[in-house]
Amino acid sequence: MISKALVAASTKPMILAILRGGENYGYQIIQRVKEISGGKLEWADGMLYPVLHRLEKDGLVKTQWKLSDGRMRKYYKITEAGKKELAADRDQWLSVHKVLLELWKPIPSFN
Amino acid sequence: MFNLEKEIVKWRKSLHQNQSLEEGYIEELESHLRDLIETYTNSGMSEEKAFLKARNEIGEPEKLGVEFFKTDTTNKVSGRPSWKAPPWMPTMLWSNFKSTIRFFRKNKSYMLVSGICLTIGFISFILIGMYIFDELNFDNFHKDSDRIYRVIEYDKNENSQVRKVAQTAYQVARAAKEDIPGVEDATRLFAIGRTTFGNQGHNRDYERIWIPDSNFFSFFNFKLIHGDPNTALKYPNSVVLTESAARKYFGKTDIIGKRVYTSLFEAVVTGVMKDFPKNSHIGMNMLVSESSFANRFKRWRGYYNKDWDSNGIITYLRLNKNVDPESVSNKLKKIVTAKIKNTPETKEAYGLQPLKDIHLYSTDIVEDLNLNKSSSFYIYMFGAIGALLLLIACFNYMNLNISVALKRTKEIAMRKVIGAGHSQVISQFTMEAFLLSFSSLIVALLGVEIILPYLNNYLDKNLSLSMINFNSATTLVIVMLIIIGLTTIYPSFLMLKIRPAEALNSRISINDGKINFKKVLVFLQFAASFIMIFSTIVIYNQLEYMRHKQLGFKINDLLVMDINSNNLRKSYQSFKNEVSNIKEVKSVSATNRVPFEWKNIPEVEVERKGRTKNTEMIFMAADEDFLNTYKIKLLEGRNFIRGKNDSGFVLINSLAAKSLGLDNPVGANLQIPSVRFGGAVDRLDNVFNVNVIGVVNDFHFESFKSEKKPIIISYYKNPIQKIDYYSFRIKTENWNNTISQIRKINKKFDPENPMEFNFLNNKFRSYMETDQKQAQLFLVFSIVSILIASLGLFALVSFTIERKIKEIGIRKVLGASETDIFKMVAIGFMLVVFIGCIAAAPFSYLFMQSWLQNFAYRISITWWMLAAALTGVFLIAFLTVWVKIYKAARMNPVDSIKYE
Repeated sequence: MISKALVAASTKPMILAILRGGENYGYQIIQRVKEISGGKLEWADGMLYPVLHRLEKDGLVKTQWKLSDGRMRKYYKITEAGKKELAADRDQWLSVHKVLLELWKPIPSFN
Repeated sequence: MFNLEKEIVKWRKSLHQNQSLEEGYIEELESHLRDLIETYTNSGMSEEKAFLKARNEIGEPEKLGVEFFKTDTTNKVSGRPSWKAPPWMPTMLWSNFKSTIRFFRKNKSYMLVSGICLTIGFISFILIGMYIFDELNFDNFHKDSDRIYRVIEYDKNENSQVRKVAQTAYQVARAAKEDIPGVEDATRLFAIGRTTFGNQGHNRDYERIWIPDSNFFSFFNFKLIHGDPNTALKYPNSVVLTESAARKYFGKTDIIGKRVYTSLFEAVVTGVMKDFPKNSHIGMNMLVSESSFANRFKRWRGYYNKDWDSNGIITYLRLNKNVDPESVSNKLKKIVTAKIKNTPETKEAYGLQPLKDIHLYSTDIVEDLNLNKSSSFYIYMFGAIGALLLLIACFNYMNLNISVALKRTKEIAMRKVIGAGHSQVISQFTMEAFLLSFSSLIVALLGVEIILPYLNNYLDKNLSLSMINFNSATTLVIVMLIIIGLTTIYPSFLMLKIRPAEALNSRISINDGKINFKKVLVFLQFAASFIMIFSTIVIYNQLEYMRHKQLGFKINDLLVMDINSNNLRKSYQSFKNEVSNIKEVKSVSATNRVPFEWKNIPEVEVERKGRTKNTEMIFMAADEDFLNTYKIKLLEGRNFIRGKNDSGFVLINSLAAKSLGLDNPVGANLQIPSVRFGGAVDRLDNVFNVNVIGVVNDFHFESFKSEKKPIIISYYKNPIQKIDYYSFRIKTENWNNTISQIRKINKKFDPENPMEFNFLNNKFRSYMETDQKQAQLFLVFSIVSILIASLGLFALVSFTIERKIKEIGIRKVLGASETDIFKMVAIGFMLVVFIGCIAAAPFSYLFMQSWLQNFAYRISITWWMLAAALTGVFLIAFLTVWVKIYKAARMNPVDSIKYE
């Protein structure tokens, strides 16, 4: 299982990345995360929504209520600002990733 | 049996308990829940299990709420949940505040009307308040102003009439200071005619000569910008100018030591003072030291050292603390009566008029050199208007508040059910009233700030919001509290009567009591508006009357020129001949004074053998062209004849003939023993014996406020007063050219002084300026009052219509016409408006009657003025109501019946 802090930190780039592929509603976004992470990354489903609302407030996504499969669903769509944010997040995560990879090389033994 | 839908509803309700989760959020979560359940049931799970699993996955409502809350409040500085009061505020107050804001939002238009009316009311109230404050604090800027007094003399003439005179003899000030204990200091001020004044170049004009005592600047608090206050007025040939006069003649203020020209002597500027404040009854451009005159005129000191009985000098005294002014004036009377010998008038008494009273309480005082003089009558009048306007605005709010309250029965009932006590219901209303009146006050203060410059310009005052001191701010707060109280009491009272069970069950109508309170307020509003409009009509009619009143002579195209040099006076015949040659000049006449005079008009006593009492008359001196130039009719006898020595002959007007009791005036012998030039009566050395040669029609010589007086017109060659003016009747066209031609001729005879001329018509109009301004102010205020009242009525009718919209629809369906609808909604209001006007009529009639007493010649109030005011008010009210009702009545009944 992945720690809470890490989940919290990575949620935003994950959602944005998923939405980059097209508009989507909450349930499907969650399903997509579960699918990719193979269950290692587990959220309380409800916790997704505050984050989505936060993203909307910050102008990174836009929303629209739509009728699909006989049910009203709120669709989220990435904005231009969201795309920029995603690119910036990506750079940051990659740099962190690079540093960690370097640091986690096996320590040479001088025995 | 497990029921999925029921469980979902239960789950949704549990979410509702969390204040962070709003309707839309819950809907979204529910949609998610349903998706999950669907997935699980599709994979073969039972509904119950699928539900439980889905519910678990979504998470605990409590935690969700916290997350949502974080999202929603990150932007807020406080980090408080939206339902929580700030730590310094009681929880209920916060709740009241929030429901007030919601209430305003929901009833925008009513609140807007109330707010606008209150704002207008406040603006009027504050502006009028400032005006009154300024008027009441006239001359208050002097240090120890409460200990400064002006000496008033009560003079009784032979006919036992007493005049209150603001000027005394020269020695009074000295005697008071030296011989009466309790008098700390005294100072004199007198005005003696005018001089041509200017710098050594060509910048010249006429200035009134004011002579103060040398302690002027230490006695009063007028500030010198340049020069030494202790010596500026001490030495001969010293002149102190005000800042603006200095700028006018020199273009700058730093002019100490500069030489200036006067017709009497050459003088030096020894001081430049700040302009006199606008709230000072003393005001002038120039002060000349008294020693200048003592130096120039050999007999000056000799005369004034013995002067105990003239009336030419204003005397101010400053008393020690706690000294009774009456004891001082009594002592003063003793000292003066011991000194004076036999005079035509006895000095009955002295009085000390407090400095602060000079501005407002001098209407019955003569020889009153009192700049910007006003009357306490206007203070009361404008004060009443200010209060009235605010009250009308306040009534609007009360009225709308009551109406809107009727819509809120359910809300109030709900509050009661939840446990609100009386105090909480009242505090809700109070909060609303407070917020509305407070924000109106703030907007009003902004409005005042915007209007002030224009008003100051118009009234020639210097009002500013900085005048608001602690006391007046307290007054404002108290006024606001009163408004809040007034507007809260009645609706609260109504709401307290609500029985929650009934109110929640159905739309109940509240019993307003036997007398409909709303209608009482509408009644008062329109009664007040009626008074304002009626007054405006009367005032304008009086002005119109004055403008067109027969003066007894033709005032148009009369040009008047001052005689400012002896040469011009001596060259009477040749000047007149030359001017007569100008084509556009129809006739020329020389006189001692002209109508609507701005200098002292001489009055003489006229004796007739066989009559015990003398008659006071205006004394005129004129040549044979006077009647022709002024177009005054000769009723009997003959005019003066050129070339004949008519010096012993006079013309009199009909009033003079009447007051002398002459049936056949022509040929009568009269004696003139004494003359008065404004101040005290002067005995002539030789009684002036005259013979009446003709009678002319009566004509106005002074302002309309005084009646036509008896006038005696002597020939221009006479022992009493020389000619001082030329009057020209000119053609209207090309008058500019005519004036420049006259100016050329004048220059030949009087090269020293600039020509000074006036169109008599303008002078006449300037007399009416104060009345005109008053009329305009009245007009503005009556527009404001009717505006506020109509706005209120409009909102009230809109409200009634809103409540009765379905009824209107149904009635229409059943065949009611627009008139029927009007009858149903508005007839009651219109009746109230009508009754309000009728009830206000007697009151406004009396009010205007008392105002008209200010004028000697006045219109009488006729029924049509009342009718016009009534029609005006009624029509405005009717149109206001009609606009609204017409729209409602034209509405498609289908829409109105559906209306919710």
